[in-house]
Amino acid sequence: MTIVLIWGCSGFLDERPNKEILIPTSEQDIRSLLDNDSELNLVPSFGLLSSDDLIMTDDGYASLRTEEEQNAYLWRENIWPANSGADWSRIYRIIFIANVVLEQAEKLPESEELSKMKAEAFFHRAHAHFMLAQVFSPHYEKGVNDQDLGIPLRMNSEILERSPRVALQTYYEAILKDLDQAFEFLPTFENIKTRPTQLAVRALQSRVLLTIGEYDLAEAAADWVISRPEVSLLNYESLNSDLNYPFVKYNEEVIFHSVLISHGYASVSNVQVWINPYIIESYQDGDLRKPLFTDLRPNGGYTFKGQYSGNFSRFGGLALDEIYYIKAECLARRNQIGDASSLMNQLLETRYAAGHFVSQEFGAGQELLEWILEEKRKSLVYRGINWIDLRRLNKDPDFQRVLVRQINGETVTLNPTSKKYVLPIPENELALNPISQTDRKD
Amino acid sequence: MKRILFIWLAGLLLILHGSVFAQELIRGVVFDKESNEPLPGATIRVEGKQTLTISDEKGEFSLSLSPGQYRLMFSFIGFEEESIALSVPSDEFLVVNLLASDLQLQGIDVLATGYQELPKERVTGSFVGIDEELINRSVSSDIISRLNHVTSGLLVNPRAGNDDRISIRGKSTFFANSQPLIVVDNFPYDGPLENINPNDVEQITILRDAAAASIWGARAGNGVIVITTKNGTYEQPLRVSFNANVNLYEKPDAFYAQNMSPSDFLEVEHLLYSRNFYNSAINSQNKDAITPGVEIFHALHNGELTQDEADRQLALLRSQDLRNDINRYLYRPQLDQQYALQVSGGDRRQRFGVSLGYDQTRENVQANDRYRITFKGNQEFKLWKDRVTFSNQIALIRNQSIVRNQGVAGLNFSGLTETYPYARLADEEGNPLTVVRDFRMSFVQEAREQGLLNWEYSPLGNIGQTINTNTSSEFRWTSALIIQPVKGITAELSYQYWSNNQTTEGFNSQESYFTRNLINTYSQIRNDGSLVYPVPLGAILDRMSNEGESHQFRGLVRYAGSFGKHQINALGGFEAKYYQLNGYSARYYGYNPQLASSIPVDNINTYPYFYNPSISQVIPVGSGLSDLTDRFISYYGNAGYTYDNKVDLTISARKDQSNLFGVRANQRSVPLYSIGLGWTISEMSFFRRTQLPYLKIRSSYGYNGNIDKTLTGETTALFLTSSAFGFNPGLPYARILNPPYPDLRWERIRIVNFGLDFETKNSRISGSVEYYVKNGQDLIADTQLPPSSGLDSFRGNSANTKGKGWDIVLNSRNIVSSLTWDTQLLFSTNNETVSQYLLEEPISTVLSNGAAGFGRVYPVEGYPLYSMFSYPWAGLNPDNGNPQGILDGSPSEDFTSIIRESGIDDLVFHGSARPTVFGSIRNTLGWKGVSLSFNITYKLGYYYRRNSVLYNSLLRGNPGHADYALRWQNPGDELSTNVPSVPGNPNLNRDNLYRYSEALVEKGDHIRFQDISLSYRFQNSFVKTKVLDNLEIYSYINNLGILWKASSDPLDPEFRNLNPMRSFSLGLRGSF
Repeated sequence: MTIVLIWGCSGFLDERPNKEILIPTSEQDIRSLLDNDSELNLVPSFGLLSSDDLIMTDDGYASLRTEEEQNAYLWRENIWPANSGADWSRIYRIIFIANVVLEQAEKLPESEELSKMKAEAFFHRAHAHFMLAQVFSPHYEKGVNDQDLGIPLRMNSEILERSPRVALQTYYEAILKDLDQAFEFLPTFENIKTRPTQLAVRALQSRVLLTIGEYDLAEAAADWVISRPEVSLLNYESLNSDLNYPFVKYNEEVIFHSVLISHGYASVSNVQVWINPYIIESYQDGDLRKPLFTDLRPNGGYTFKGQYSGNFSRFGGLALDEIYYIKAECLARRNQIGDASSLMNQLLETRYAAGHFVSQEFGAGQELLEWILEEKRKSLVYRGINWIDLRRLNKDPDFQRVLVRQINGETVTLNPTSKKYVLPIPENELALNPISQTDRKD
Repeated sequence: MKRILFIWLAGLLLILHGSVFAQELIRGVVFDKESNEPLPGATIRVEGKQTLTISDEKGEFSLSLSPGQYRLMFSFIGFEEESIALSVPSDEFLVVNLLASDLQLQGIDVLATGYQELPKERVTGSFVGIDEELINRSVSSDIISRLNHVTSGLLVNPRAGNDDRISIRGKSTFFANSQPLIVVDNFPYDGPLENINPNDVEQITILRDAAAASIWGARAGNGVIVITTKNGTYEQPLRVSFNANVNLYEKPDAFYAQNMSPSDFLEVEHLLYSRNFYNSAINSQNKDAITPGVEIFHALHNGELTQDEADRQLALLRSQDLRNDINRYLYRPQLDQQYALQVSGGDRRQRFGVSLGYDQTRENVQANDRYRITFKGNQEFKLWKDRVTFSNQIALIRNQSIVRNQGVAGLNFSGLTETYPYARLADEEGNPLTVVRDFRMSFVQEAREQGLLNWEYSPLGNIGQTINTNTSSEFRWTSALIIQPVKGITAELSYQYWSNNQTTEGFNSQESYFTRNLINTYSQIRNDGSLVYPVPLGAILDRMSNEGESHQFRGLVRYAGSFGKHQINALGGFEAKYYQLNGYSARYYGYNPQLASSIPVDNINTYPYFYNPSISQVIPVGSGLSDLTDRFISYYGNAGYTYDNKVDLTISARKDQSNLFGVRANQRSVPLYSIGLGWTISEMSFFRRTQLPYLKIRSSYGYNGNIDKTLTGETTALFLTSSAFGFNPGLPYARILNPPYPDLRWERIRIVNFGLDFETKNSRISGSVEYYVKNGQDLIADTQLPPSSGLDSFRGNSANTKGKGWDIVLNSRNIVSSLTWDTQLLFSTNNETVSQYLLEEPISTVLSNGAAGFGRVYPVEGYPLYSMFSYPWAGLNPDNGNPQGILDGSPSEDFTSIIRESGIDDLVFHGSARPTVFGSIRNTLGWKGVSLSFNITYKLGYYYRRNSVLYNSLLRGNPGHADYALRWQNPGDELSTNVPSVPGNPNLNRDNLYRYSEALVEKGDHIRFQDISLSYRFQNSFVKTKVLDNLEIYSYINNLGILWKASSDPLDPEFRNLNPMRSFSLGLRGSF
């Protein structure tokens, strides 16, 4: 009896059943949850697959491992076979982790370190919500379609809760609020670039605000990033294009490291999926983006190797080059032609071999804007940004583009106003959450 | 709870104290006159007084009487009453022999629960006893096979793995442990079941109802199998017994599974080649493997082969059937050998038993073997005027399996499970041949020219090069001290230490394909053409060990007493358990077995693969650690009251606590209880029927529990360190495993049991009829979540089940003379449905996994746990051979809509995927030492799904099912076949509609001629010389075949992938 009493009282039953498993309760535990970069630092990859950054050969199409990749490439009405849709589930997983962190952090005494970690969680939640919307939600134009329904907004870790679609305005306000809350307690810069920083917050703000048409605010955020000394433009001339991966991880331009969810179509060993020849042809002589970004394959196509991740993963994070383009576009949109041109020239000079770059001046806003967007597409190819830009620029008749695919002799097109710019919600979500499927019938 | 227990114990001591004063003690023993075995449970009454006692497990009794003259009456069911005159005080140790009456209760008289031994007629719960004779009726190296088909209510699921092999009265859980608790010699057994040697087993009791749980607690929700091993008996001369047998099985047959023929597969490959399917493999940077057939089509296409030559080569391939080679070179008949030796004996004060067993199995895959050595020794002493008993038991088991030959598992192709069906394993002389495996043959050749190791794969050549040895060494020590300080009270302290070290060693010689492949994959060519080997030359050794250890400690006080017609038996105590499992794994490269040396490798930097330099990986290290701990503390009490041998009332309660993780402290424990009532009607004076000397009704009610210790109530995370592939190598990180769930509770199973036992005059007909209701509450269920929650699935207490059924046993002695003929009929039913399940499983999963009949449950409210659903089948489309389902009431081939829009109500519900009615009829004939017994078993009321061709897989180059040959090819075929035509493109929905349609559902009902057992016990004249007491030769044939089945499917409903293999055994046992 005494033995039992001793065992009972001295925590005999408090022993953990499995040593590797812990209840995350300390600050250090929460730090570890936030350093789960293989789950947190991901972005959707079906935007890239649906965009005109790439084309596929017939064989490439036939050899795709999953049905959803084939469906998405040809903009079919239905995309997801049962139990597929990593772009949806894995990004909502990020939001879940962020919510768990925020809730666990509430249980601990306040500290500076904890505030910083909560700020990181706010950033991850905002980033994931935004990136999800670019694939599954209609494009949001502030003041135009505020009450249109987007996708579920998840602000807690209550797993049994069934989240409805929410209005776009509510959804984007939540994103911007999370980013505002994140900024104050984050460091400006971290060497571990999978962790959010103030630079990352401002960079993401500029991307979000540009997307919803808040150009002035977007420019201010971009300006803040460009003015900081912690990040700087790479000089492409100093890089070696003979390497398998010419760019190193966490290079000077990288603000926040994230990669696209991996899929067969985007694998570096897939030689049947090529960069759109239109982009290849648009690189002029001396444009180092061509040798640094592309690999000419024996089958005649160019594959992409220029990711900022330093390895085979496709970079999908935030980098300084994008911020230059955002600021230039915002300047151009408010007719600051001189400033926009000089910013562009400043950026592009670093992308060319010495002596090849000729700086350009434009008189009219429209022409300048076209140039900025064209160069942006050439610089940010294979990062999924083009898809975000396509969705918003399609609203402007001057920038509309019809996308065309050819597979097995058949031609498929995607019109600028098509409802297929919003991907359907995966079946396993609809099976368990009573929300309506996205209308994709044009 | 602790306080309550103290008070309760103190109360017990008080009662005891009152019953012992100022009286003289009379002691004695009751024996069965015929067998000379002690008789536990005999009633001893004092004529004319209310005093009454019961003999203990050794047949001994004692009575306290004040001085005077008395007459003692000795009675026991099935025996003639005896009386003795006595004058008190008396020093005489009374020895009473009772003579068996005509009434002989069939089978076991005493049932062991692990805590106590109960006379059969005092039982109120649902217990089944299996005696040594029945255990020895069949031949096998494991104990579970011996229970199968002879135990009422117990079903062995032949296709399930060890985690769902046995079910006793259904399965009242979805996700927690579904296996019964195994108790060996009074302690829960933590080791693998295959370590228990059936030759050591004396008796098995199966506890099926709530009484089981309140005795065994939270782990008894699935029933309890209590195994008692052999020991010596007191005052028994030295006895040596032996048993030896061989058991030969039929050979497996590769043709049984109905795979596609080589020529059909070549036809498919040709079709796929013409559709350019192989272009990506042919152009692959990974140098993907190409089958010989496709190589021929490609060479023909490129003009490297003439049409004639190609036809000749293809004809050769068509003539080669891999299944012939598998049967010839990989399979062989399994052969088991079993030897056992026991020595036992005892005198007045001590008894002992030692047993030794050796089992050897020659597996049905060539070159693979298994061995088991078991040793068990026990000894028990009586001290201090027999008031103290001290016993010790030691068991040592070593179990080893050696796999030198991967068998069919080694026949994979480029990551697929099956290789091409025209592969050849050996040439005409039996010399090993190579088959294409991971890389294209041209690349293998190229690599060789560059100086790499041979990259060819020969399944037969690889035999003995990769050797997986699994060794388990178990040690068990049990010690028990029983003290009887005063009459009626015994205190027991017992302890068990158990350890089991399981080592898995994977040795891959440098000649093994595994090693060559790994070395080659990482080989680098320097600019000067020389080779560097980041994976060093030499063997590779993987070592994994799991070290399990447990300590169990038990303290127990028993009380037995009687007051007139009232008898009380009570026990109470506590138990603590500590279980620890540590795992280690490591890999050694460049291993040299002679020197026991290895070479360190660089597992930080990445190296480009030789076959595809665009992939760079670090060398896999394969090391890991794990540490699991289980802790339980339990308190229990158990009391039985009997009035005048007529009415039995039992009550028991138990509380278990565990280190269940992250749960509020008050939910770590669960109280379980049961009550039972029995009424022996035949003992009532109004009843007294000579035709029905024994009739009893009984019932029990109570709760069992179950637990899933992998679950937690709070958010938990797995802590890891980022690998070299990660963005931040070396950075610690954590992955969330469980979401917060503070309401986690133990599962509870409520069981009501009604039973009726009877026996007619001369035991001509006897048996029992039981009806039970078994409802699961707060069952832990795994369910899918909408991914927007951040998780795919979640486990919690979300479900209830309702189960009910009958267990009927009828014994009849048809002929009783020098020829005997006995029949036993077992009939069990079990109907179990999901009564509450909060969330909905996707239809696709219910269809695909819910009908497996074992493993994970995919519940649908209102239906059996394992339900067979299917899509309604509207036949094949006569125009194109497409499968047709039903959409909006009419035939449709809109596969996507049918699959997307079908709800559970749109499906056909066939029934349970597990047998709902099962049992056996066993007849035993005896004549002058010859015994012939045969068992016919039946399983009824269930459905299974047959395999067929799946184009989604076939059209991706995987070999498929032979039904391809029966496919729709021309209009009109739909009248004679349900197998769809070959589609233009792989279409998963089209496949799924067919695969999960009515067309492939079969009724599983069948009757099987299970086994025959024939033995001859040599008669006195021959054997009972001075040397041998007993000698018996026996033979046993198992798995004779199906007598009847409901379905016309040619395959056996219980053997879907491999043929049922008959086994024939011959053995000899005896003693001297």
